[in-house]
Amino acid sequence: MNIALKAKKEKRKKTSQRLLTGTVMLFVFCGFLLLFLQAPSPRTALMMAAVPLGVWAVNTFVPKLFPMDGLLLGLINFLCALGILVQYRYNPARGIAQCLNYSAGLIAMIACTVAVRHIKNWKLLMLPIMAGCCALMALPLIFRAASAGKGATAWVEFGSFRMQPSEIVKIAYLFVLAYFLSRRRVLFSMVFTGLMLGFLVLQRDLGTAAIYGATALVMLYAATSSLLLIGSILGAGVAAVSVLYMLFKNSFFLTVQNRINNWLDPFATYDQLGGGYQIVQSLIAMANGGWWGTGLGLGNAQVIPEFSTDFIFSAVMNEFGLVFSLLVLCVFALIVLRSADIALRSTSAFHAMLALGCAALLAVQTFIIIGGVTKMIPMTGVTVPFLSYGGTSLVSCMGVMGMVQGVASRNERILQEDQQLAEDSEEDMP
Amino acid sequence: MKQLRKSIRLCALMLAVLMLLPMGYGAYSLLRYGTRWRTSEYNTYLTSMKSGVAAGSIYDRNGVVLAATQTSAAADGTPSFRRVYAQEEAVRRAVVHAVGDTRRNVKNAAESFMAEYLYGANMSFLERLEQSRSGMLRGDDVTLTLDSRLSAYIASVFPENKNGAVVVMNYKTGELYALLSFPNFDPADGTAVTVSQALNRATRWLSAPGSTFKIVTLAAALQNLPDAEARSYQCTGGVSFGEHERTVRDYGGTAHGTLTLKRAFTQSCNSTFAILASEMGDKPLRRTAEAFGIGDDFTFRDLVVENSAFSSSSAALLGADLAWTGAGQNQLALTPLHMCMIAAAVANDGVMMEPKLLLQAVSPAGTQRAAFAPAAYRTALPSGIAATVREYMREVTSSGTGRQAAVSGLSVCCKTGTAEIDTQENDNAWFVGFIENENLPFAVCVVVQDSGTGGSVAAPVAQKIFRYLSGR
Repeated sequence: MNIALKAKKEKRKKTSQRLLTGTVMLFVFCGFLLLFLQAPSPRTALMMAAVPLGVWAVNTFVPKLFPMDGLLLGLINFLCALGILVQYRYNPARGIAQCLNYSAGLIAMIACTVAVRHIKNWKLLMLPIMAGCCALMALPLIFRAASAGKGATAWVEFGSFRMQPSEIVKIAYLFVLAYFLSRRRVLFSMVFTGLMLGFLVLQRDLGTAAIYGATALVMLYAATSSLLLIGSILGAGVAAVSVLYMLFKNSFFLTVQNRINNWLDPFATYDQLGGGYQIVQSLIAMANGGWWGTGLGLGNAQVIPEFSTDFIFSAVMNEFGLVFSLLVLCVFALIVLRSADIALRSTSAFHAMLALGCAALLAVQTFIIIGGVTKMIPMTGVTVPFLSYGGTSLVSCMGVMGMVQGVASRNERILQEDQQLAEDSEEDMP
Repeated sequence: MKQLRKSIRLCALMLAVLMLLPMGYGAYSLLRYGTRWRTSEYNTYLTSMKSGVAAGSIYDRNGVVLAATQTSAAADGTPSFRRVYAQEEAVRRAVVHAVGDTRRNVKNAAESFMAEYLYGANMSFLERLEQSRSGMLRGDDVTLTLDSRLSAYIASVFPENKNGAVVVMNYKTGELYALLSFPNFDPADGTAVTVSQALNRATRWLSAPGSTFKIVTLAAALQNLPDAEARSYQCTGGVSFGEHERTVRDYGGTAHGTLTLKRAFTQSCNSTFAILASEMGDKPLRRTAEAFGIGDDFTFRDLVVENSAFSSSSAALLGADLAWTGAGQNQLALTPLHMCMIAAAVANDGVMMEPKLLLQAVSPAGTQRAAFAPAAYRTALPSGIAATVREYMREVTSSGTGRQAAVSGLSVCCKTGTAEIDTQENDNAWFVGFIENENLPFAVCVVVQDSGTGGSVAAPVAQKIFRYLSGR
């Protein structure tokens, strides 16, 4: 009886996952078909076949080889496929490069999944991880000092290879926070967070700093359930920012002031250097798209600087319309809810905190950038998870999701072991 | 663990809601500002769209063609389009600020603001298919509320070589019959257009409206000072306010002596209205101004109007600043169109109608895409107060500063204004007024910059417009 019920449930899960995979395949196929009809080329024809097949292969085989949550994987793959489609539509070379980025991301995801599933003794790892975090975060500062302090940058370059350490550190940062918060080491977690924020502010990367800070706050609340604590930290944060503002009014905060002006009235600062040009073009792209979009291949989001990274969502709103964009955000929300569900099924506080932290990071980052391009909040340059062009961004997002997958995988393993135990004892009964 | 799970549930829910917020905000801004953003001068998409579609025609309310597209086939068979404007030069010049031009010198005129219709953005897939079979995409035809003959007539009676604006609207429905700005230009001739020529002074030019604003001060006083009508006022040609003894002077330093409120209004006595404003204080006057739409973020469906301001900040005005505001000066900034709407609200029993420019948009196949429907914008003042203000304004025409706007056999209500601008040699002449007649529900605003008094320069122009409208 029990086994029959389980099999039925399993079957239903399989069906829904197949349905999801099929829908995503159909969607990307139709997308590339449209592009092919507009400008036939063998490359587009190849993509038309390769991307849906890739989605199918990853959705089918990866969970078999490395146990993980198929639904979560399917949702992530939808977003990645959409990202590849939009990148390809504006620049085919970038679309193909994004496929390679995706492969790297997939490897990172599998690595994180396996690590979380199998590593038991995290205590030993904590010290090296934290040291690595600090070293990586210090890299851009050292590079900047070496290049005689030119510009404000969060990037590190080795020849043609560029990376943003703060993207990779995200993964390690979540491990550290989850580990110490699950052990109620609140003060230490806060000090570590403060250190990371300090590095980010020195790198002038306020968007990422906001992501780190907000994620820490969510995890802190989950660990302590104390609104009072969160409130006082927020208060202290506001006070600290005000003091810093007074101190650096004319240097660092000039750019901040700029951003706020661009947010209040981008049309007024349209012609200024670093003015509202991007935001205005983003809003116009959104307005041109309207509710149903201009149609794939018919938009003109390329007028927005950085349209392939920070403003990729404007390109989506432009060609696919606001209704579709809302549904894309719903997919993001589903990923967050699914991650939280996985956190709830976890038996250890560490793994629950880890999955929640990943969900929070994803949600906050999505909110910050999409709120920015719709002029809801001031614009800060961070990437849209899974959609933006770029290897580092994709690797870090897929890595973060890999941690959730690892928790899901571990939950499943423990469940199976328990059932095995129960069945064994049932057999022993008579 | 149990507590942790509870917190996780709460966090997840809040995060999911947080993520959906930007799209909710996006939808809200699309509804509110979408047309404005789409028709912005910075929109390159609009320009690219224009090359593939034959833009629809623009007609005035009597069917006169104001703009149309001429199609000719190039050697390789691809159609090329040329935009042509009304036949008579006088008409072209008179409506250019409302209709616009192909080079988009005039910002947010019908040519760009109604591009959604003119370039067929609302075409359904089937219509697009149907049309592309005939070889060419055609946009919708648009009919404006404008009367081109009236507009050309107004241009002919407006003082020569003066800058300014004229607005004529139906105060019952909000339809704009004329929307003129001077200097104008001819969109058919290819010469360069100056910034001054391109500026639509009726909708985009903010300035102090002078004594025409006393309509608002009067409405505020009638609502906030119970004895305002009963008492008498002393005018010695000027009053001093504040610690710096800054003076509100009457025009030409004229001392009006002892007068009633009505006489102060008809003689446009600055001292009296300065006293009224400072007695009321900032709040009531500002509240009434806000009821008239001053300070609103105007997002009218058919046209872009610059937002008016009561003062440059939200801080309360004091002393001479407040007193001068009551007399229509200081930091007050209104457009001629908004001043016309204010007069129209008084005429329409206190209900301000939304200004409308679009009568209808019709697709090439004949389906109506959009149609005019009158819409109340806001209630500016109670109808009882409006009746009193009308009575005062009638008196301005019969025995006050607006005598030159009087038309025998018509009941004309009006208020003149002479706005002092520091940087100009002469004052700006303002006039707002309307005809009290069920069948001729027209409100008019005339502004002639750098010219003289409202009563001697703007009122005669308005008189001719009233005559024309009533056929007398």
